[in-house]
Amino acid sequence: MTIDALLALIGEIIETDPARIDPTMDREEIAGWDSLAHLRIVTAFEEAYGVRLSMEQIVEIRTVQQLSRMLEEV
Amino acid sequence: MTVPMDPNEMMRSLHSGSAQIDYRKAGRLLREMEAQANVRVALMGNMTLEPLVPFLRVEAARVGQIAAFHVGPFGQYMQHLYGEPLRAFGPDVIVLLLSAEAMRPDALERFHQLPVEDRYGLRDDMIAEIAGWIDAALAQTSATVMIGNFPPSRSALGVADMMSEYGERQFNLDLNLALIQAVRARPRAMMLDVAEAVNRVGTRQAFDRRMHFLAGLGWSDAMKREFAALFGHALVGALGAARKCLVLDLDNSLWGGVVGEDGPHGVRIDRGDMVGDAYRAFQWRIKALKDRGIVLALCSKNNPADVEEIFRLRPDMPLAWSDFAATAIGWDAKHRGLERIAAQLNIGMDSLVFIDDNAAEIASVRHHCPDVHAVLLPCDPAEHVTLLDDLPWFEKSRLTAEDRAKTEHYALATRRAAVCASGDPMDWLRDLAMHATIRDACPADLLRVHQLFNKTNQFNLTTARPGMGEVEAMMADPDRQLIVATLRDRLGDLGLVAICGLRREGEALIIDHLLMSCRAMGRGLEDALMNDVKRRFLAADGCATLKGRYVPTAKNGPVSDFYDRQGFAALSLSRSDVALSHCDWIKLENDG
Repeated sequence: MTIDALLALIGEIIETDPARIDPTMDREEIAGWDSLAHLRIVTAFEEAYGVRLSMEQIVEIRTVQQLSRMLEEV
Repeated sequence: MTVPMDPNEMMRSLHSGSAQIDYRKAGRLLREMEAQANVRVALMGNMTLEPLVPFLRVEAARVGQIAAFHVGPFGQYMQHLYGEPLRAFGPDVIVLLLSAEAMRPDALERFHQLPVEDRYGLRDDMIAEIAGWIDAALAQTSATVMIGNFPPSRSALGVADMMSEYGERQFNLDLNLALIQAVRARPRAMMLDVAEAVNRVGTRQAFDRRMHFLAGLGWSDAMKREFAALFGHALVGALGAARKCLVLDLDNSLWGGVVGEDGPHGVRIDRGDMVGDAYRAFQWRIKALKDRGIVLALCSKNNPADVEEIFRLRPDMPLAWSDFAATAIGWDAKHRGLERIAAQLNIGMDSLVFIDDNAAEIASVRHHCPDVHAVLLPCDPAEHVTLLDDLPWFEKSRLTAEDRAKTEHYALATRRAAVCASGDPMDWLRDLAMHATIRDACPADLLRVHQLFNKTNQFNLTTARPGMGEVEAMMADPDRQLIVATLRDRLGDLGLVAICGLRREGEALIIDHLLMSCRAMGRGLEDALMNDVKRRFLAADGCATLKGRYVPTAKNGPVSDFYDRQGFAALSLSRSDVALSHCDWIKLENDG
């Protein structure tokens, strides 16, 4: 999976241009990425890639980069 | 499906019934239309409800409603009823969703250790709280309130639970039963069967325990979708927005095979044949719609003689010829047949749902009659009942006596029309021996009055669509008078068929609402009703002027000249020039 595909998915959920999301930026810093949006992102991510994260993994994800690494771990 | 980018187009595409949609995108597009909302929905409870909004928005649009949403603060469902934010929002519908575990965490965590009396006490205590909330919601707002029930969960005692006195399962069933009774006893309150929605999804798919612990809402997206669909159904009921008539195709829709080729005994509708049994189940389900007040009709390409023959020779079929209030059988295009049926029943095309197994027919009807909701049957008749159950169009919040007698009413109308066609219309009117009662509406009329307000299109002078709370308010307001008319004739009882809403404004009396069911049109009841109003109020009650209002719509053309015919001058009518209409063929039986 490319980071671009992931950014597109996140951008669509938080209604932000994917090009303006920094993959290394903490989600707290990204406008629109609040706690409920975070769960929507995780749900969409799981659905798109057929994976399932644990509660702790969900909470620990702070950046787009970390989310993309989850695919290698799970 | 590709998602259209224009919100209005989105709305139309949802309404016309495409199956697959992207809830996120659709919800976002529809959110842009919130300013034009025609129904305002407040969500309250002790779960995180914000994630439901996009799903509810889409399902509301699917039943033709643009909804605006307001989510109450987590857990403060009682306090919030009395707060300014809810008052300012002005909800038409309030949905209350409670998690039993969040409502009584201490007791439910150690339920099996509680003494049995405490378990009963817990039930009573929870129901009392909910009933108190409903009463407060009904008093504080004019909204319809929808209460979700409690899905069951597996018991800590496993299979022994059901063998224990008042165990967890029994408690859940009993709690939901007590909730039904509490809700049923209150007007403007409805149940949302969350437990059954969970069943449909399947418990393992419906709940996401991670989301429960993380976010306070343990519903999976599949469950959110199912719940939203349930909400769409309830919304149709709450708004009185049900379609009036289901039009059915015959061959490969009501039975397997083609009657013109296979013959009345060759088609598959026999008990004991698996395909026949599937079609029989479908026919029974359709027949049950009659008891909800949905009128049935047939639109089929067949020789009329073949169709008459099968209904004559196959009385073992669940559906009988007499179940259909109108038929269009022949070789015309289906959309012509649908137009004939609508004309025969005196209802609009947007009151029809059409079901057919032929994709080309469905496409053609969608093209020619976009107002008809056309539904394609799945190939396998085993799926037909589910398809019918999934349609939101036939939902009523509660059933009235008029609903149960609806097909009979239309059948009588057809007989009346036959009598009429045979002679002088005045003779026909006299021959019907009509008796009307014109009286003030009483609380027992609430459901029927609300229903009539919300589905009458043609004979409706102002086409206001009040919610049930607003109807209650009209009845209670000393400055307003809500008058209803019931009608019967020698062929049968038509029930409560007309409403007149009056409002006093100084010396004038304003006719805010005047509407009549299409099945009573052409009988002169409007004359009897207006005569009664003129006699009672202009002559006796110190009202100098009677003023009528007419708000034209696409549908109420038939009454555009109503006030002219009733002798109103362009603006008003005063006592000195009261003229009563000639209407001696209806005998009034007023209560005084």
